[in-house]
Amino acid sequence: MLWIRTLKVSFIVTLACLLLAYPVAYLLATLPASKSNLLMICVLMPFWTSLLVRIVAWMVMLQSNGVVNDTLVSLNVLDDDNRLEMMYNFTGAIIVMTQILLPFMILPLYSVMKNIPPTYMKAAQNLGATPTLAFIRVYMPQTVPGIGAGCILVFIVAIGYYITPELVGGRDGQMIGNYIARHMQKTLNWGLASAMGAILLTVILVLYWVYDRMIGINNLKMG
Amino acid sequence: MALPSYTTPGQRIWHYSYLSFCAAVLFFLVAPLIAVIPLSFTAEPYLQFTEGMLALDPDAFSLRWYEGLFGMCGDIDSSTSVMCTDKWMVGTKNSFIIAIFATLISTTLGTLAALGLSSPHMPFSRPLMALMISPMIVPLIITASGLFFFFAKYNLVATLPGIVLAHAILGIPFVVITVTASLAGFDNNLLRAAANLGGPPITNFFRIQVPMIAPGVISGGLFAFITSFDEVVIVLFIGGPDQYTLPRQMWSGIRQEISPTILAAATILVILSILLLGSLEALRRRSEKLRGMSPG
Repeated sequence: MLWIRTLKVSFIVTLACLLLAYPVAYLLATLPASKSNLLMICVLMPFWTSLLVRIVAWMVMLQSNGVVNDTLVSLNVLDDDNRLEMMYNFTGAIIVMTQILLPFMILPLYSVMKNIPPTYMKAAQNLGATPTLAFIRVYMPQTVPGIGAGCILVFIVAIGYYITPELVGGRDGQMIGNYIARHMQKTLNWGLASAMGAILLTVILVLYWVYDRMIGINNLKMG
Repeated sequence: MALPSYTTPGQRIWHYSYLSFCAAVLFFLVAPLIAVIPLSFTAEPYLQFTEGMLALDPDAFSLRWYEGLFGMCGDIDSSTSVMCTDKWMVGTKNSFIIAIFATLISTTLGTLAALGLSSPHMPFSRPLMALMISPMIVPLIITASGLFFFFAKYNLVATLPGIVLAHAILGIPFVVITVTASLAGFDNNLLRAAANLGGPPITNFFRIQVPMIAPGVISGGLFAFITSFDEVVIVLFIGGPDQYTLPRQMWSGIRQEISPTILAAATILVILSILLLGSLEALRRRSEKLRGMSPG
């Protein structure tokens, strides 16, 4: 149950990151450098802000008297007594983790897309493909290494998360990391904690190995 | 991205909805950080925009949470409050001490490791590289648990050297990555030329190679510094009461008593990270310039 939930959270977060990151990475890669550098700051600023600060920021946004709910109520989208529960539960963990891990997806996608010559798309369209077809058949296959890198990276980081689920996950957003911490610190069941840690570590090392084979670990870029 | 005049209305709609989607995602990334800043000046003890603040009433704003941060509690009710204590200042001081030592260790070790791994004669460089980077990949909770058991044997739990060493381990991957990247643009002929001109290897290293790879070393060091400065799991697991750091104070603040003091601290940290990002960007430009000058 716990493992399934951990995997579920990691999968949802990875998928959400991919869907949000792909268009943004494409925009950053196709814009002229002066504009894309400016937008890149929006991606890098949260990346370099303290994790705890981002969590506090999300508490301000998502709590029941938070910015999002207040805005929705004042726009009459929501009733005052029907405020959305977006914090201290599964939803909260997903939203916050997606925002925190999004740069890990945007950056590898961006560095792959940056190296795709724009002439390929033009050539495809010149040969009679519609823009959509050219994008799907010519552009997307070339971004697969970036998609793979980003997804594995986000998944690896998400599956071992501890701080975020602990602070915003409430009851049903807890992950394996939280149980390891609980058994280490509260119940002092160190054997169980080590066993859980060993399983988690094995999963991560396998993914890490795949990542290294696919992309090469020294191609990891930060900022 | 201006559209050519021959675009169809459908393409136009698609184009603008695409741009607004991207804008929404970027907003999603930045909005929470921006919301924190005005809210840290609230006069009320709630994490909520009051009507007065929305109406820009000057009375609704105050610096009281910043005063609490600097240990000037004034009329805040709270001799008992965990928020208005000198713990913020003590924590900041401890964080700086730990981060500076950890950065020194990880920058030295990471640079040396990168130099060795980049040498063409290095056997097993790929698996060794994977090993060096692994602290970045392995979940902190596992690193922290493992270090707890390991450090317990050597009496390093709840000591300053223990935390510094643990943070140095976390910082090394960043230094290895950035220095390896800057070594990739380094022309070894420069060292040969220097040796040919009679420089001993040590002098050549410090006079020729170090200045060339300095941007990589410094940006790796900055990454290591920020990693240590922001780290909470290791501190919670193997830190004692004397290793009370700023993230730890934020952690207990978030868990026990959420007050705008945390927002004041968060605002300062957001501004710090903007400054840091600015210096990294400047370093990157400098590194590109240096690389442009080197032949090949």
